[in-house]
Amino acid sequence: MSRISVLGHRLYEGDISFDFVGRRKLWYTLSLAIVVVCALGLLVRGLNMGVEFKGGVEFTAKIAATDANVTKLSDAVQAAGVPDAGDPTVTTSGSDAIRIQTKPLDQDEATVVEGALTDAGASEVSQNLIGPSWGEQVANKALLGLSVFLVAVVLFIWAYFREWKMSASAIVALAHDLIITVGIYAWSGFEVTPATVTGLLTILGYSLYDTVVVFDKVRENTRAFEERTQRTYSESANLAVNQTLVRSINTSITALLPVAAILIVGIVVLGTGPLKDLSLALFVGMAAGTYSSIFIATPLVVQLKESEDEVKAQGRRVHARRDKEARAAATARTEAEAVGVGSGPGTGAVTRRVSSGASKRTQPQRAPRSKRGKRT
Amino acid sequence: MATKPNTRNLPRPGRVLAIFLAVVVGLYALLIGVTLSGDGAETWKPELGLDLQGGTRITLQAKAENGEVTPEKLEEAASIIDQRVNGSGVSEAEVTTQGGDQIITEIPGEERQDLVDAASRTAQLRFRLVWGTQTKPASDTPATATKATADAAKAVEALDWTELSLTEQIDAETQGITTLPKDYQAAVDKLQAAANEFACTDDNLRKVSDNDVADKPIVSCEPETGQVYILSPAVIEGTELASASAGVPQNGVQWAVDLSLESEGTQAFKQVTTELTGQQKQFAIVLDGEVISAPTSQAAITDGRAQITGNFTQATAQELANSLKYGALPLTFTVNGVSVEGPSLAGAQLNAGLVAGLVGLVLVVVYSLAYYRGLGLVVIASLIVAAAITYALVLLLGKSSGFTLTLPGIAGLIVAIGITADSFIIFFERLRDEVRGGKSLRLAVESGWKRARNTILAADAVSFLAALILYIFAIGVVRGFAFALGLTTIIDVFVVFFFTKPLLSLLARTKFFGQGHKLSGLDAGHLGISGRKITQIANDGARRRPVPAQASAPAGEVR
Repeated sequence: MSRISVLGHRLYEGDISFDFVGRRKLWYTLSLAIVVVCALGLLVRGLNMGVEFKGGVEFTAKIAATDANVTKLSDAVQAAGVPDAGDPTVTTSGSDAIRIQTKPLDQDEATVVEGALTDAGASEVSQNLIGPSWGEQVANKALLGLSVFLVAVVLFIWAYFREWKMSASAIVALAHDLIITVGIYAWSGFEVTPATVTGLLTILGYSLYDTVVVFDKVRENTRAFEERTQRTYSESANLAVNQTLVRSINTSITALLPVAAILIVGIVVLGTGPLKDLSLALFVGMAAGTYSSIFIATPLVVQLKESEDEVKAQGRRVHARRDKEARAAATARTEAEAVGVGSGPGTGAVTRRVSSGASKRTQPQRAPRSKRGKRT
Repeated sequence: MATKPNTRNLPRPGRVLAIFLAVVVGLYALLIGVTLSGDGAETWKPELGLDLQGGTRITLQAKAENGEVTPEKLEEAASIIDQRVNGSGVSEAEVTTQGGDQIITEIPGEERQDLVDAASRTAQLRFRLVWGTQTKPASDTPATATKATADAAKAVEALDWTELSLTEQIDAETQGITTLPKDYQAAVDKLQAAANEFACTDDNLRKVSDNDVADKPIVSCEPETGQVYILSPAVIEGTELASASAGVPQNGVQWAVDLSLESEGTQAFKQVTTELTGQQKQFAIVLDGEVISAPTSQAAITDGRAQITGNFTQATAQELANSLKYGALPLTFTVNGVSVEGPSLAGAQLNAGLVAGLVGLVLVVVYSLAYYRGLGLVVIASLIVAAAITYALVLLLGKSSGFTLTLPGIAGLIVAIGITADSFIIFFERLRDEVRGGKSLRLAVESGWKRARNTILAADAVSFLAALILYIFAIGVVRGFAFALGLTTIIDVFVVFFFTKPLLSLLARTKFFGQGHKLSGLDAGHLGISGRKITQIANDGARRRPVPAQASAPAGEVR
């Protein structure tokens, strides 16, 4: 465990640094490939919509979930004398329940089928009669909610960070998570129920939650960046991602642990049902959400920001300073053995915020941070 | 270790913590108060949704024939359905509106087909003529009554009543029921017999309303007065009613109900009132088979605008107006879904949800102990406090506003464990960053908190926004999930602000945490600052601190 902790420290100091921002083309390509595969799955295989979306009746019969009983209940439904109930989908659900799905029935027909199931030995029958328009409404409401949420979040992030580019990046990351989740549903053939939709909508919140945390660090690291020549915007942002990496890992673990618990309990104890549907969508979406905050959202912000003149100019100043130092170091080395690391004269843009030890390679980032900490 | 005087206004963690805990205790005191005042037994058990306790849930979808489904119309419809379903006095059915165009009826317990029917029937408001009344009090033998009713029903069923003209129907009232064509006389006699045996009970009224058809005469009564009537086929349908409102007429003192009719209804009403006026004859306004008012006509109404007066109070006048409006609602309902959950399957769901929650909680606790060691205890304490508050609020909301815990709701609570724990993680990581940066723990808690605070607030705001929007737009079980998520997000903010942070401030003063004991999660080795002990760092920090603090004082405002 303390390994992660040590890693955390080294990441924080910049001793170890994963180049999340610099290698963004790789991440983009990777994500694009995944997204394309997922989108393809949606087109080719489509989603396995649950009975809630197609309309129909779902019966859950309490009876030992054996193959014999499945056949027995299936036959009982066929023989019930309700034409629409013919050819039902019968599956086991957990260890002591069997689920039967039929085409849409009216209330009286459903009662007849229920009676047939009870006669066939089911001790308790739950039924769920769903009109064909119900699922459509759930989906429509969800879409409406999604649109309102997106607008609200774009405004919120823009207001909080004062940066529409962060809003845009967060939304792209969000879309990425949703497409991946939906794609996994398409390829795996998991049933899509209203609980799945709930899960999907929750991912919205979680994915953005995670992105906001990372962005907050990016903002802190890049505050007044144009006054400094220590790091480019891109490098500051990358440091931010590295510094929040341990948090991201910890958060993902603590968030995924309970979801995994629901998923496992849902499958083992209940078989199919809302718990499983919900937690499966959450599990996939949360994992994707953590990934996209690090690999997609932040690199995208950097890319968008790098088109700004100010960021470009600052980048040039940083490189100019480094070149100068490199030359100075080179000349120093050729003349004699370096006596010590001379404190580099700040280039033109250096301000009061940069401490004299700005060019000390050993602990470059600590000086301004601790100083800032004391001032507040 | 006494606190060294610090120039900055340090918060008083002890006091904050005490107030916070007092609030929590207050919550529970409130709960105990509720227990003592009400029926105590169930107080400590949350109100469970149908999916966890078993029952029937009916979703009705409203459609407007013209115009929109307004919230007012929907509320009226819901209150009528409420009266219908709960009128039989057996169940504790809950009728709620949802999503702007749906009415949800939840009936706990065993399946009740009759209640499903009662809930899903559309409202039927009709104007009928009064052909007769009970001529002698009903005998006390239900068997006779049932037989008379059945006979009348059979006789009525055999005839085509639509062949009667409006004039013939009115004549039957004004000049006596015997003026009807001969074919109808036998049926009319049966109706009279049925009326004589009719007892004005809720049960009978419900039967009447089940068989209430527009083009047949019925026997029914007015529950207010107990008066039993033989009523003609409907002369005006409820859909012809344009508006109804209660008010005090300009130069009157008594409450009255104004109503106005559409063109077709106006024609029929004109004819009816013209004929009835001056004869002390009544017509009946019938909603769902029940006579809600049987006024006499005082004047011929030619413009379709009538005023019903009588011994109305404000309440009764408004009730009548509302009933009229409901009958006139251009809403039709279709059954959108009926779900019946058996009680033991529901119990299995509840258990599974609780087990999942427990497992999730234990996993998070184990992980935070393993990773944060001593700080993990703070996580656990905070989670326990958060859980205690959540539990109390779920109970209180269940009592006060009928919040029920559903399976998705439980899932929402479990998911929230992760999000709540994340607030602590953000804080602790910041805290450790500060310690690594060379601060003493006491200062690190304050400065780390300052930075973590905004992140936590922003992140929770997004999470809350998601929950809120889900709650507003979602329908069905999704709302329970959104509510649980939103509730716990708010609780999370309170806990981290008023419990976790002050607790850490206090703990930072202890030797165990403040000097970085090996198990505190803040020791040098654990933090990755090998070679230096946290005490050294603290001392370094203490030594260095005054210098920059003074030096930066003049420029301290620059940020």
